[in-house]
Amino acid sequence: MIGEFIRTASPQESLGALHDGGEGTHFIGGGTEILRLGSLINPQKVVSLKGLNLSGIEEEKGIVSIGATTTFQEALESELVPRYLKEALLYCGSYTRRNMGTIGGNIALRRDDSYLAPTLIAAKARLILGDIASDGKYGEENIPIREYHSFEEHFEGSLILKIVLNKPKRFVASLRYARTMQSPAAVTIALGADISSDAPHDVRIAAAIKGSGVVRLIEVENGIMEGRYPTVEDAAAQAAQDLVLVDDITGSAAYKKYILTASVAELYKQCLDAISKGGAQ
Amino acid sequence: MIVRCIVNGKNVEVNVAPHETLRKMLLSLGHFAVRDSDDGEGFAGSDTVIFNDRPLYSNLLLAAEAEGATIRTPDSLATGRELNVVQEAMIDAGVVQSAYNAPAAALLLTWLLEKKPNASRSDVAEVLSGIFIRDAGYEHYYLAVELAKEKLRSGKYSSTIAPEFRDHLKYVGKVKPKVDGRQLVAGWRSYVEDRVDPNACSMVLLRSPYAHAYITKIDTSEAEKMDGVVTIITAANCPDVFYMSAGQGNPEPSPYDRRLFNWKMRHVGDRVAAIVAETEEQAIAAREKIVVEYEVLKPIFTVEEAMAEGAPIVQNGAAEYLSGEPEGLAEYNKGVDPREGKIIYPFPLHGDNRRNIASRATGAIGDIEKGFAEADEVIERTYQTSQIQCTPLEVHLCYTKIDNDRLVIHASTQVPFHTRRIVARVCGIAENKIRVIKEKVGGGYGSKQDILVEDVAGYATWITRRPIYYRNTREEEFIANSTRHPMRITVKMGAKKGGQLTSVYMDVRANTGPYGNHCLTVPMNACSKTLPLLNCPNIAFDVTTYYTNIPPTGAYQGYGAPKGSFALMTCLAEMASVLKVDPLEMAKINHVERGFMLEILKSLGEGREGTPVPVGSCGLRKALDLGAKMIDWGKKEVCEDPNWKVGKGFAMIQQGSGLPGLDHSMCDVVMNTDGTFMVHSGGADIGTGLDTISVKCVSEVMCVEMDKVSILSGDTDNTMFDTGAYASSGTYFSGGATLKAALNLKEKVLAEAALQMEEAVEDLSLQAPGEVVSKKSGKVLPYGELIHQAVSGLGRGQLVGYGSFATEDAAIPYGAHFAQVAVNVKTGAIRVDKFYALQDAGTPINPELALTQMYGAAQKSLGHTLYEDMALDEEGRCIAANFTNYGVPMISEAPADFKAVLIDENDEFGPFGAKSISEIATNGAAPAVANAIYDAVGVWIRSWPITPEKILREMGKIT
Repeated sequence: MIGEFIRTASPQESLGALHDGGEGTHFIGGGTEILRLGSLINPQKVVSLKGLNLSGIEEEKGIVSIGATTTFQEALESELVPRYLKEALLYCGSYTRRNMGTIGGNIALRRDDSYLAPTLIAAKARLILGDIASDGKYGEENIPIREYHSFEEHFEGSLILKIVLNKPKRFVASLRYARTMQSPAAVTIALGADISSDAPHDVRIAAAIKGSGVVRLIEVENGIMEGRYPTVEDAAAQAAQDLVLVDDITGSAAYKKYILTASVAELYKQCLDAISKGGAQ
Repeated sequence: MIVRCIVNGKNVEVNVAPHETLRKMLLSLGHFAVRDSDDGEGFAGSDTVIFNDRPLYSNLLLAAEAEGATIRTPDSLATGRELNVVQEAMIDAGVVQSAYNAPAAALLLTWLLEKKPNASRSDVAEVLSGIFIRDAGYEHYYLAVELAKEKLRSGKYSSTIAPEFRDHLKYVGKVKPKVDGRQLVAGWRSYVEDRVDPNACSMVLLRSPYAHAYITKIDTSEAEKMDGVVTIITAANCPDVFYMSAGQGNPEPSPYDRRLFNWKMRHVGDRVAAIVAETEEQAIAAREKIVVEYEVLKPIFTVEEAMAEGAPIVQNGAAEYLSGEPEGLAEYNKGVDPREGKIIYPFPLHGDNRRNIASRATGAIGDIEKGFAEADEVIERTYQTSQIQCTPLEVHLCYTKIDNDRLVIHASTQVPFHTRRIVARVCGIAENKIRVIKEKVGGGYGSKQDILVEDVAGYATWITRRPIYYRNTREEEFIANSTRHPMRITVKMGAKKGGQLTSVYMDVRANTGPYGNHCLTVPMNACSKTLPLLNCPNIAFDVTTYYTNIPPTGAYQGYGAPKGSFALMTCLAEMASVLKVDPLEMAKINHVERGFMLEILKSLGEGREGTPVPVGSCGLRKALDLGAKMIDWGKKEVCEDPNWKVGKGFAMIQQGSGLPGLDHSMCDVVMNTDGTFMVHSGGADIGTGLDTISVKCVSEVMCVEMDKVSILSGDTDNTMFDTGAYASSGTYFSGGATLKAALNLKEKVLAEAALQMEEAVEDLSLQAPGEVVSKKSGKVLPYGELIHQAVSGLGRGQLVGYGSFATEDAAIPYGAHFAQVAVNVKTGAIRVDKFYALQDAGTPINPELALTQMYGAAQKSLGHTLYEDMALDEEGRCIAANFTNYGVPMISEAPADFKAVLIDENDEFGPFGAKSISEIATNGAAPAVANAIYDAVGVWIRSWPITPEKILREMGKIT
């Protein structure tokens, strides 16, 4: 049960409060996870991010910065947010929840049915993180979002301040498979690639797989970039090769494997179509 | 900590705890219409508020976050008695039914129209995407917004709300505001939770973690010492009374196999103990201190496991019979373990609990073997339906107290009189010591036909004399409530080459779970509400129901019919496919029509011999013809994307209107001392508009406006007996009783007027706005004057009409549901693009409510067909015990083209020609969608839910 509610006015203060609060202290942004029935987080203290002015969306020289406490709905209503991200934001099917859930919060949760993580990884999004170093000094760093997912423990206690997207010449598309709009997804998968030349490069494929977490399909990425696959089906065949998949309420492991495979084929095909049409989304 | 904010335009300053949610804070400020349907899941939307001009779930926001905020709650919309335009439009569109989150929906739509006065359909869909509507469906919410826009623009509606029926009637068959619509949409006090005394005790239950186990030891001593604890009830100190939770006619066709608390646990979530304390926190803290030791037994979860030789026995107690005791019972009961309790049969249900059989039934007409021999084709298919939760937005709850040394139960129930009877049995007291007050019911759908919480709370209050509030959590709704029985149904069907059926056999194996409530009647319904659709001369069925350790089952809208319909109608389509006959033609060849004698009903009584009756009013053919035209039957549709294949399907459906020969309803109508009217109906309006039907009946007969008629219903102290709201009985039985009472009152009014006016009764009639007129003299006597003279000193007393309705006549509603689906051959994804529900409800007394009930029921059944799944793990724990994981359909799952059509077919028996409307609408989706999927991609999916994975497997893409 939450025993203390801490208001802060700056990222530095928030991080300090998190540090001082010790175990059981959590940031609270939109609240859709911390207070949610069935949440695995059971905080004793919460540090509110409301007073930090971390929401808002800006664009400068083709770089879009989205404040971490920007809600899904605010992002959807912004003309600056790329269409592919809006597609992922709409995977949260409830308008009311979209008005509460924050983009930073969704990333920080690292859920295995994450709405946004696959798309942001495919988009090569970067995160601006605030942190307090061991010498007690506040600092900020700019990291690729894939690192945030790959080195979870390293960023424990960091505060996501912004999500940064480089807009031009990148194809990004995603697919989600859930029984209803609001059911947990068996698989959410996204593929991103630089399509400024005749062949896709700088490919990123990431999937949020229920029971398995957020994973990158690095072998497939490399295979596509190295031109190893004569057909999209060849690329797809590699998709679920090394993944550990489980049966659960969203579907069997066999279903997830099939869907991953079919999705990679579909997204890769869309990517090639985009190249053949000569433009990025 | 202190929070300062603005709530509904007023500055407030509230001291809140750090963990307190915004909803809790708003409740403390008196905004009780901010309700809770999901315990903070952020799904159902009953807790929606507008926070800094954005809709938010108040359960997911800490009160502390409200510092400086501006908040609007649903109770801000009405100004005194005056509703706003959206609230009025929602009532007029017919979406205010059980209405638990209607105030929240009104708030959202009001906010939307403030932002976008020309809000589009997609705007409405977006804003309502976070609110769960189970009763009325979403389609008429779009209409409500259109109506509100029209009213705001021009001061009046221009859209047609619903078709109207019977030109000669003024109220019946006309679109009129639901009589309780205002209080429900405004969020005025209506529900059980609104009646609870702030000082009432709280009760929580300790539940079994095991699906099958004996309690070997239970120690409550530490818990009893905890602060605030009033009492703890367990198997050790509860009455040794066996009873049945099913609220059915007495004698119940269900075994008495429940006790308040048992020594044997039969499902995860079974009751171990009830803890009553001064506060909920104290009750929960005490629950933690109860020490229970279990001897864990092997559980069984499926019919197949229950049937297996040497299977663990779920109900292994001594069998007793109140009548019809079989021979050899003493031998049968030898050596039973007393921890198993007992099973008392009010009359034989042909159960055999040593073999996990709760009940059995069988019946036949003609000679099925001869019929199969005569057939050109015989097929046999097995279909499986799954366990489905009713998911009413208002959970099961009750408030019990002592008043005048009697037990008073404020209940959210479909069966107030059965509740009284069953609680009386549990408490060991007579019925006159109990008053049950049915409050507004925030969704029942059958689950509130069972007495699931009133028994334990009532008993606790009776022994402690303390007022007690009990409320299920949403998880408890899933694990310890009543649900649709899973069934395995095998259909064997024989037919001639041209499509004429020669023989049909149904073998129904139902899974009743741990207890036998409705164990005979729900599975029988799978036959009795489907087989009589067919004019086949040779029909037989076997029904066997098994005990297992799944969460409890019971009644759910449609009862057994949706499952039987899935099996029988899909098999009919499969037969058409085998014969290469158009399924629609096959249906037309084989369906019954007016006058066909339903001999099969003789075998389909509820535990006793039924009465064959001829088919009466029947709009089935009209529904088939119109539905086929609407969906362009026979035309193959093609998607632009070659991965999507389109198919069409349909199903014939029927239900009943109450239980002729079993149900009974009573009503009285009193003329008040100013010439207005008070109706006292035993019927239980659970949001469907039954009270409005009663008021319309009285208005029609007495020639007065509806606002001159008020109604009190479902209060066992103040209304006469009614079997309750189940089996689609409301309109036919309870409405029928009101009509009889009104006609009886009319007779008395005319007789009294004849005396007062010194005229002959034959010369008198009633006319608007509420007076007696003589066609002979032209004299007029207003009701106000008539009643004043009747009750002022020397008169003959108050005028009261009495109506008792019971019948052997059946008013069977018929219909057909059509679906057009698109199936993605690569992913198995299914999209229901079109769904047309066409139903003959006789005279729809409330046409707009009839339509919305059809939408709601059809959407529910689409949920059962495609999404909803009470998945259990290998230990019997429900792993989908919340809305999100369970998968109820929301507005995003509603078909893009969704139409409900009322087929006009007057009935000779129902009040003003009315039949039932709502339950039947749950029967069509599963077979219609299954048949459409076959039409699209050539695979039959014979089990619920029909998921993409199942389609991919049937298509051979997943092995």
